[in-house]
Amino acid sequence: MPLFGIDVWEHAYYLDYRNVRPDYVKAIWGLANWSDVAARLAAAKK
Amino acid sequence: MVRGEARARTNRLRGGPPIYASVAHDNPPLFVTRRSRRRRPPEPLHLLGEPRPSKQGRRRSARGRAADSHQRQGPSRIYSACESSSMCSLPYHLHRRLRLLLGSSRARAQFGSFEAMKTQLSGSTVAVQGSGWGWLGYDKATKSVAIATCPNQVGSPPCRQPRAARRGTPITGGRDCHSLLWSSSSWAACESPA
Repeated sequence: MPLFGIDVWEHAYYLDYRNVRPDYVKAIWGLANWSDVAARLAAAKK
Repeated sequence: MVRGEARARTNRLRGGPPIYASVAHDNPPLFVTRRSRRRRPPEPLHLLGEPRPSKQGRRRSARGRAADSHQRQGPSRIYSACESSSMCSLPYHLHRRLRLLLGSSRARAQFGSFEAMKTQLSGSTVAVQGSGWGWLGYDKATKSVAIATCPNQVGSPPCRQPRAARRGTPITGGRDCHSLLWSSSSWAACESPA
């Protein structure tokens, strides 16, 4: 079951981060909603 | 008169607060404090090749105690040690999420820590050739949290993400994903006029 996904298509990050994909992925962690991820995990475990 | 003493005396006559800094700087104390004079017990002797005996009677830091508990009981003790001390940068509520996220002992053994999981997922996602996705998924077969990537390009190798994750995403790459896409297409909707 997918819990958390990171989109690394160019249209997802190129406007803000150009071709620096590591900076985009690093910034993702500050936006992740772990409450939702935990809820999905709890639902997947049932 | 020693430098700084006149200023301290004038300040004392005026009733101001005592100046400790200048006095301490100009007149260093000739005695040692009681704390620094305290002698530590000698360390017990041990032979080379044998495990080092524990240093009893010495105050251990929070980091040292956490490391000891990590060695004794595995990485799960680290989380509780982080929650009760300020040595970890993660806030308390994120540690609760972490314990929910890495609830199974298998997942803990796989990633080790929350930071390790983030580092592994970041590395896998950044390493995707071209466009694609990085996934954190739950594999029901092994009952563990898994990391997977999916390059969204025709002709790419088959997806390495969990089967359930492939089924849940509308557009995915690889031979397996494309075969699933064909089987899940609604041909009736395609034939009907818009």
